Amino acid sequence: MKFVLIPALLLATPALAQDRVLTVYAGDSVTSEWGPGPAIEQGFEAICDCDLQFVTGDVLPRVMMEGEGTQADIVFGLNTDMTARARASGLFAPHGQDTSDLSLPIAWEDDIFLPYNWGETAFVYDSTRLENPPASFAELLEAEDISIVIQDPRSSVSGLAMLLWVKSVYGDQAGEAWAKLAPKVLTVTRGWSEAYGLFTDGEADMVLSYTTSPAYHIAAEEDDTKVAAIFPEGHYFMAELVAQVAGTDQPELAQQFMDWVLTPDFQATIPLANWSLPAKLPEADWPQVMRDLPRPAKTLFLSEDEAEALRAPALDEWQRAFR
Amino acid sequence: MATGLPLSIGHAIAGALAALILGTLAAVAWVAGGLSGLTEWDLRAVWFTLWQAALSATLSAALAVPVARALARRRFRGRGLLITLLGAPFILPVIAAVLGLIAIFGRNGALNGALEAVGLPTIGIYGWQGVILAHVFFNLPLSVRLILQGWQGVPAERFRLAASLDFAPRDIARHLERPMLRGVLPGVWLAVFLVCLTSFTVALALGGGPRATTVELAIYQAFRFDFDLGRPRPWGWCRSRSASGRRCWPGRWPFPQALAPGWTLRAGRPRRGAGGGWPMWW
Repeated sequence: MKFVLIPALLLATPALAQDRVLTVYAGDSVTSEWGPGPAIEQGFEAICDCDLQFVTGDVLPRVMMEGEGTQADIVFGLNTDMTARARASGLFAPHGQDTSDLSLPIAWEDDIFLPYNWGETAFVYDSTRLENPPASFAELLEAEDISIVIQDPRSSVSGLAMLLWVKSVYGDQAGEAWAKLAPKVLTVTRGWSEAYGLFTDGEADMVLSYTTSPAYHIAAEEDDTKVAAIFPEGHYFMAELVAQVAGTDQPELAQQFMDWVLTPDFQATIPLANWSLPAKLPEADWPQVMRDLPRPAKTLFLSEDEAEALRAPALDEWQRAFR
Repeated sequence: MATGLPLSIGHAIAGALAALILGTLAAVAWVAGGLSGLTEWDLRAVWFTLWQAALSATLSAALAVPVARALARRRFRGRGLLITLLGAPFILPVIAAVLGLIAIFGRNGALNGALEAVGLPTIGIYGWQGVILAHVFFNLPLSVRLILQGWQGVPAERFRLAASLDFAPRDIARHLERPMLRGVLPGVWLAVFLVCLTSFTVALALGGGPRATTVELAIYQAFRFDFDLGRPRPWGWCRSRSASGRRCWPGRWPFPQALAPGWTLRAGRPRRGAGGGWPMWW
């Protein structure tokens, strides 16, 4: 069969340089029809004279297991807070981009992992159900009769960000803060979608999500009742990252992709495809709905090493509050 | 009644599978460097996983008996469709099932709406009761189908013979049904127990917090979230043992065959279709 098929395929696509394949490992959410995957594939194939192929699944565990022999040229959709072990693996090559003028609320000095979008953790509430939303984290801790759904920090990146958020705000007092929050927590879910589903079904008053979540309801559903509570104590920064694999067999293509990620061509697709903020795009070029969103005055972010060091004790504190 | 053989086969297989699981847990402890290698939270997860799976399996199997009995005894329109639909919860996406259960039992669910309307206190689904409820929802239909097979494996001749001997329902239960159940139930219980061992999303979402942590979550955390490839090995062992037990189970479980050879009965009466010809009073 092979001997018959291969010449047939070659005849079918004689002029296209389809032997240049860029393999991109990405999370499931990227390539779903509402994710940014299709736009990315189309956009890059238009300029690269190549075939971009997504391989979806658990990006980082897969690359780490495959090691030097990985088929990946690009890994797409890693998260901040989880880069320490990825970096230590030595599997990734520098991105080679100038990150001095990104549209992020923090300075970005990482030369391996390049952010392509960002957002901040926030508790989102339904203004028709919660008439007096807490105006600060402190008010949230003291509030009575509020039910919250959160994600588990052991299985969800947003849950982990929440853990680090509370740790950044309360430091040594984080355990006490969790003890006050725990009775309000209706339940803890494996991932973001279960929690958000419970919230939109009306089970809980608030859900752990992102400052940009209301934009989806406004733009796609013309519903302005979902609001992110903005706290003066600050909100925790999260970005999704892309990196090129050092041992790629397509170094030029991989570099071309990395060069493309921060261009307006790519960045303009982020806000409405990813429902997050672009990593490098002047605010004037953001969609109106994103520009109109209330934004935190203070952004909290722990360095990779701080996050790695705080994770285990913070997790222990968190579990203790719920025992 | 020649019930000695099926009982011994059933018990032997149930025992072997139980030994496989418990032996694996022992192996987990051993590989992880003794129980001290596991943290307090790991031990809690093991404990929660085991007791919720045991309770879910017991409730599912116990509640499935009367349902299977009714389905075995009655013929009505849509019976075949109902039995087919019993397979549905098992293949339902987990999140759809969770949101469905919450639509009924949740804080704003139909049940609490009805309770409030008549002035009764509302119920909370979030907690161990929610986990058990969801697991029974998933596994009761599965158990019904398995037990129904057991019932249908009892040859109609036996029931006819019982009828001709003027057996009371109590006697039929004693001589025909209980021996069959003794052969079938251990396998059903174990199947549900194994399914519930690997529960994760449901247990967490309805469990109301990290108290409802299962071993499966620990595996996920270690392997897919922490990329700690050394740590999940004992957990992965446990998981793969239990999952392969689950996989090979349905096809290989021998339903009590010695109960089935009903074709030896050479009564003078014309034989009617198996199952369909049960006496009307039955």
